[in-house]
Amino acid sequence: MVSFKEIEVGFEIPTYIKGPIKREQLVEYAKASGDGNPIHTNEQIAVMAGLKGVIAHGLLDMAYMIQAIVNWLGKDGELKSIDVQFRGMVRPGDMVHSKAKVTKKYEENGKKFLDLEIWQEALTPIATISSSLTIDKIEPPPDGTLKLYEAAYRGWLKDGQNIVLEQKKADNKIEYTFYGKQNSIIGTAKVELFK
Amino acid sequence: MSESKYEKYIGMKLEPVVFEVTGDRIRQYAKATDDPNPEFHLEEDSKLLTPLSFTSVYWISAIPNFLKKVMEEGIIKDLSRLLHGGQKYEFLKPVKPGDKLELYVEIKNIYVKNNMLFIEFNLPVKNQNKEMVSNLTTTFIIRPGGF
Repeated sequence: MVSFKEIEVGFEIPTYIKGPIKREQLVEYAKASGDGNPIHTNEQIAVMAGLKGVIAHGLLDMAYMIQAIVNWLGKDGELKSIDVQFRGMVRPGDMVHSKAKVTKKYEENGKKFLDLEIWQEALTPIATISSSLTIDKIEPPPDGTLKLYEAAYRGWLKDGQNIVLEQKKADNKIEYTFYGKQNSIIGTAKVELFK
Repeated sequence: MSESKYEKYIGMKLEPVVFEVTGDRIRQYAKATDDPNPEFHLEEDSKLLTPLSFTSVYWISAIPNFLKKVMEEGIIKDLSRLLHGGQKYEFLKPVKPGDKLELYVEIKNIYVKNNMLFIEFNLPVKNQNKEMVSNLTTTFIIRPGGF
């Protein structure tokens, strides 16, 4: 339960994860939303527009951000407003992490409100190394297999972009995946809590 | 082009656009956005709830007209230079199947900064009972060469 009494400034809502983003999903979103801009669905046009391939609709990213908050609130509150800036492009293959933190807690006309700082991280996979051995620096271990993703050869990463490493156990091997990380959305939101 | 050239457009209002909400449209949208809330997928329109982000669907319905107008006025010359900079939604009243929404578009601000053109516009949205259901604000950014 989300209750006004228990939530303090600085509280972070659970990270809401979507992805990997698929191209078919962008086609489906284009139809459902009515946004027919071909930079989201047509590789050739997206490349011609200088985007190095299709990108997700900013409003789809925003939809995930809204879901993150609404899902967290459940029946205990309501999202009153959301204000986002689109900062980075989300690509096919990306994992999208929507996050929010309480910045202010207050009452107004007998109602309880929280202000949130919101942000969404897009994690673009670059390479996965699977190995039974421990990774040493960035060198693939000798028994490792290397899988490259589109970002590795299509120039999707920006100079100086943050790279993060995720470790996952798969069978008796360890999978190390490198992701380019950036904020796709930053902004603020206001929610009302009922209890 | 000087900044003052754009001042006359501040406050410009467009003809309202009407958007009819249907249960099918809501379910299609909830599926496309992979929304986990089962109340947005219910078969019966009378029980179906609308995701707040469905706001984007009716917002989009007002955009072709808006772009046509700013192209006609010569404010934007190349749409491929357009970026969606920001979006703000205030949710005032739930939307349900059968609603007929009216979207009123008004340019709030238009200016050049860092060689880019910023257009901010506001869309108050009313339902068939003239109740405000939401208030939307958008920022479009036009990169150099597009205006």
